[in-house]
Amino acid sequence: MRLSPTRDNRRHVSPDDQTLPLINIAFLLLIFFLLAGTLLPPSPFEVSELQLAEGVPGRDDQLRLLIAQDGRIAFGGAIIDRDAIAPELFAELQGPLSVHVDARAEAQMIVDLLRLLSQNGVVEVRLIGADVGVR
Amino acid sequence: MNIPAVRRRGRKLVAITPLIDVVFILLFFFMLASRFDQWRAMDLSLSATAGTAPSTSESRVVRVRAGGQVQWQDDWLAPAELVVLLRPADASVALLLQPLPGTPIQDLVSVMEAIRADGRHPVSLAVGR
Repeated sequence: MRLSPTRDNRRHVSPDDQTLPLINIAFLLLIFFLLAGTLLPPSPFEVSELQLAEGVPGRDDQLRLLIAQDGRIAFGGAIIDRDAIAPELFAELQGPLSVHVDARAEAQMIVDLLRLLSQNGVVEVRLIGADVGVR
Repeated sequence: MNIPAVRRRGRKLVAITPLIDVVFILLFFFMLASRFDQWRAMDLSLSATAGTAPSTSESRVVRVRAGGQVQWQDDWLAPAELVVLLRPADASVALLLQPLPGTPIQDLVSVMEAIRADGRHPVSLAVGR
């Protein structure tokens, strides 16, 4: 009785069959990154996120307002001027406006900006920050 | 005479090597472009702070300075101490936080979180006019 494979049997193992486990793993990783991550437009400036301990678990939004430390603002991935804030800008908005504020920004400047937003039809904003857990 | 080779039985319909090339490129793209941050959200209603009168009957302006301290009469306190001092007070008193110049937004938000965590007093930002 011969148990070792003959030359004839080995010929049917193609290199493709050996890469199948590899491609299985690659597909699993691909699906994981597709589902677990969120794709966002890159920020035009650096925003050091707020640290929030309380609050509901947030979600990132494509239509978000970014506020830099020096007061520059960006909406939907592009830097805009303060004069460009108009009710038409937020026409597509459903629900609260997601706002990412630089944690080092001056509070009075943010309050002034919030007032400007409320004068332009924004009823509710949602400050988004990094989850630091319960302090 | 050149006889064409007989097509091998069981030959793969899709070539694996180009497929895995493309899958790896997609995998690297999503690995590098995705963000996995855990976010928290704090909702702020602008209608109450936009200069219209607050719905509650009484409100009290509380000043906040850098370092996350709040003013209570002549003293500067940590938000946790303010919350304890406010306990006997009427719970319907709304607190309007007013940041002093030079206060980072992080300190203001931390104070707001501390008062909201206590859950007794509605708190919002004093926007003024």
